[in-house]
Amino acid sequence: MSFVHLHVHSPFSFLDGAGRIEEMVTSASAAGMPSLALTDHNNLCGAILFSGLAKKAGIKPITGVEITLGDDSHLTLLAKNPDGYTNLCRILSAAHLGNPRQTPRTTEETLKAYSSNLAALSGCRKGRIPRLILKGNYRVAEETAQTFADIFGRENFFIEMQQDFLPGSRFLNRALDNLASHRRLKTAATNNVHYVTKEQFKIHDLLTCVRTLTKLEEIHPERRLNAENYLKSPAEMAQIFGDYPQAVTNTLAIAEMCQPALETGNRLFPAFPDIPPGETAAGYLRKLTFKGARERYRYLPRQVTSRLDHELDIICRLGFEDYFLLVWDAANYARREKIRYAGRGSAADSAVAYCLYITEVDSIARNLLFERFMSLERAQTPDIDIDFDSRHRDRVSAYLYKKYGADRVATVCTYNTFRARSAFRDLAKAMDFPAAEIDRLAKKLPYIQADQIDLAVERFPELRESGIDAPGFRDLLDYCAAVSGFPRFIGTHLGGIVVSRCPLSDVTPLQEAAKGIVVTQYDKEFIEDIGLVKLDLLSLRTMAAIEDTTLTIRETGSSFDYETIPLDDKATFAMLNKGETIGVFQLESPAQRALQSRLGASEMEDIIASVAIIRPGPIKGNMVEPFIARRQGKEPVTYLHPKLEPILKKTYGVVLFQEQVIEIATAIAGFTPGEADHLRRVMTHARSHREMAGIGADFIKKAAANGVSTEVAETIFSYITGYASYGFCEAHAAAFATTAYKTAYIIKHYPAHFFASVLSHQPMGFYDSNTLCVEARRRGVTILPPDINLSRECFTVDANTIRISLRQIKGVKDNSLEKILTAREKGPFKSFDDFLKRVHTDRNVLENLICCGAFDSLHSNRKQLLWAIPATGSKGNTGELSLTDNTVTLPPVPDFTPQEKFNMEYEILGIDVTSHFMSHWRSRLNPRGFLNSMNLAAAKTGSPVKVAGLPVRPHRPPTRTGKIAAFFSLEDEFGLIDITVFEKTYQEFGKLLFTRPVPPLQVWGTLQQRGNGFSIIARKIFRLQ
Amino acid sequence: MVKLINKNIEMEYGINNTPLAFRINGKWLPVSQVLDIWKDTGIWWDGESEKTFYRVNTPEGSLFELYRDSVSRSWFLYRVYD
Repeated sequence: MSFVHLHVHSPFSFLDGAGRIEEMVTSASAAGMPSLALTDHNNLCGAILFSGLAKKAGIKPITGVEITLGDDSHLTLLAKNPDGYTNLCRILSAAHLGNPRQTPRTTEETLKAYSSNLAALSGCRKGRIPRLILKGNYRVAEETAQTFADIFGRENFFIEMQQDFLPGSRFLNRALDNLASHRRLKTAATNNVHYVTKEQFKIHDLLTCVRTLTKLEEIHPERRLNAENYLKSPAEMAQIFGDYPQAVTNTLAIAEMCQPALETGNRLFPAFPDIPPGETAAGYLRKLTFKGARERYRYLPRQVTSRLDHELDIICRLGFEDYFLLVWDAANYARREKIRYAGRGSAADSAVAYCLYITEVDSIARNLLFERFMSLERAQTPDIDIDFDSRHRDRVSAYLYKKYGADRVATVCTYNTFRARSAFRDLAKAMDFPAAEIDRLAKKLPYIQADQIDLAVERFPELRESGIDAPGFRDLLDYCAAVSGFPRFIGTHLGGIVVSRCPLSDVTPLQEAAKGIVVTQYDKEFIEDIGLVKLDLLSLRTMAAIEDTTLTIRETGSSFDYETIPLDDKATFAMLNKGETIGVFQLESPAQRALQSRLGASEMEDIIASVAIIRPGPIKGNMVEPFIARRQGKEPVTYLHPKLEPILKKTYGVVLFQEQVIEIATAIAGFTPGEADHLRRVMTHARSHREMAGIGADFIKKAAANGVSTEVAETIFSYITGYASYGFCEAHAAAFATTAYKTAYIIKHYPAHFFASVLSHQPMGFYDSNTLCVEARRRGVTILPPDINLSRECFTVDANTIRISLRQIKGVKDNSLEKILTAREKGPFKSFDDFLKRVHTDRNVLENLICCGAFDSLHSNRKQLLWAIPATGSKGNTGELSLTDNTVTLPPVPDFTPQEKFNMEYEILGIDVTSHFMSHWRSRLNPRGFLNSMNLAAAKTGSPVKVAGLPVRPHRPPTRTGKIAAFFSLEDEFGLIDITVFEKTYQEFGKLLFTRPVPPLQVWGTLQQRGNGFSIIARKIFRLQ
Repeated sequence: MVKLINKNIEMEYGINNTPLAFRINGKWLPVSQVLDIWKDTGIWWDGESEKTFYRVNTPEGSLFELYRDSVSRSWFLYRVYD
């Protein structure tokens, strides 16, 4: 006898499912089930993945959901066909958007409105009918069954029976069977599956504890009594339903009536609404493109027109002309509104995108491969990403909402999944480990998958010494591995929005995420499978910083224009060559600074290569050193095959860009563009070794047929394999490089303006405010403390000084800020007393203003001012001051010591204002032979040195050899010293680096000079004492 | 009135471990009807094994709860309803 499970939960039931969909499908297929349903709680998040996997496994996917009704009862719904799927989407969207967040409830009216093409099962014990029976209300249960039968149609409504071995199940099933007979309804056996194997019950129980905030020892009605809700085989189901064989048989009939409901391959993006009369979308796109081309190129040589013709032909043949017009429209809106933006990603491979002002990369001049972006063979949805000034990104999305209708635009969701730290925290809490111990150990876990903790323990000394591998944690670590990657909750994608031709709730369930944003229940991967196109409108603080820098420079009377910054400024390149790139977009990490000090960049091509080369792909592929040596002429540029020369010439024979991989596959092995792009995708998504090996065999075979020797083909493919995972596409690198170079130019010529803007828009970039201030000072900029009369909302510039903003002061939020600035509009504060009279503010804010020195210019004794606060009185427990007494008497108390002031300023501002922490140590370090970041260069290369400072951004990037190497910088009062820690030293001292907070450290090591940069190879690392 | 007994007992059982008769105080009591069956995984995190409970009555009308431990395969008289 066969059987089909029609009530199945996956991890997408969010902490109520412990069996992976992959495992579920494999098990069902192995058990000979012809179909399988997925019915998560109030969502279809797993539907697309499930559908794809089921089809691959040769079983029919049934798209379903377990909804929650207004009385909190459950009902199982199955889509019979695509129209049924649409109704599921509508029902779920109404349930989510019509109720408070996280409490979706479906009303009877909604069910009636969207009941067609659905099959319904009466639900688990939480179903309305079983609940009524268990309460002894059989008559109402029968009436309810009749109501559902009326809603869905008698032939589509089934009395669901479960043999879950809970007390009362026998009675309940007898009653349900009687009810079905009495009302002439059919029954259906289900097992309310929440995991695949019986053993996974433990994981489900733990997840239930996490969901219900209980500990294992505690009782909660949501926790299940036994482990019976696994994916039972047809034989097991037949056995436990021995008294009701028809209920088992009926599952096959229900499965038969449900056809695959998810339609893929649709085109759901909207027709562009503003096409002039008599014009087609294709014609209008062409017109706009050539108009832009004439503006960009002035005159149009054949090379340009034929490229544009080629691109437009592909765009239109693939049917994406409306999509391009939509993106153009969004970018055009930003231009009109003077919102700074820059297109990034593979869209920069397109000359059409350049002519439409979507990107700033001239793909024709750079000879970029359009097929990396779009190709006829691949026919995939193009992916266009645009960075906007972070302050105005929402205006652009609001424009699209208004233009296309709020029911047709939504943000794409993300799935927050269990990683090592979150799994460890949540599960350890459920298992009742001490809170302090959980916190201590969780903080030591790196950002890794939850099933990699054992591996991390083997590799990282700070984990070994933490005791996380003690026997008492063994089970916990196994449970962490079991939930690795399980979704925890739905979040909001940072920039991805979809625009649809039809109401979105017809094609995807919608729900509310945090901050009231309406999101799709499908993430960026799944959303494209149903035919929607994601447009990434990203929010980039760098854009905001650039905009502010431009404005403040112009305020000085300068005619500075960001757009026309010369791309060959010698001073800028000289600065880059010294590795002085803190603050430079994309070039400020220690690895980038080290690269810049060695590379000798002299043109934009070098910057583009720089952006692409400090990536895991090229690093692991051993491409960095050959690239630098060849760039500097220290190593001959050679090519394994003459066909590689035109492809790799601009990168000196080294594979740097994804586009080059495609071109190599085409030139050497004769791959079609589609095959070549498949290779790229397998590579960049670090897919299975088996898949890569399969493509490799194909590559070598086709290369041989193309006249390339097997040996050469193998070597070429080994380079490609080495490059695997996370290489950049050239277009993206070029887009970023332009911004990188221009920010470098601004730092060189307008450091105060740029750093003030960057400080105002924190957090952004690689370094925190204090490090940025150290760097600004190193460049001769003076950092001034906050001043109640001079500081503004943002950091301000006056000549070569930066004044710390009021917003930088801990606790100063919009409300306080507005009060202070509004009061100050009527004139500066004349005294502390005057401030108290004019500004009613929170006590904590007032204390912080005093302690960080904001009132120093009015009254220099901070302690006196603190004493003065209580004299003014406070209003109840609100902390809000009621300042009616204007005769504040300041008691005669001595002020804080300089050290106390220093500590308070750092605590409140996060910035060492008057002196750096390390300057207080210097007099003790100098006699002990310690060097600092300024005099380090004077020491002999290769000599032993000792340095000390505050550790900045310790990290362990992937290495070519696979061995661990840690990198960090030591910040002192003059700048940064970069430290490299190799495996042996790391194993001995690494525990000092990856703890929180990282203490001030001293490093003993060997000075190394590479190019114009210095770094230290650490031999010993100690706490600074 | 319910008495908690929780004592190991001898049991005669049939297909699928269905209780047929059990011995209590040296006397075999036949099971006339299994009224309910449920399973309980217990304190699994402490190594406790799964138990299958049976609520049964005897010809005299007495009501008992018996369980079978899935690991030891032993039977226990859990509760008696007077």
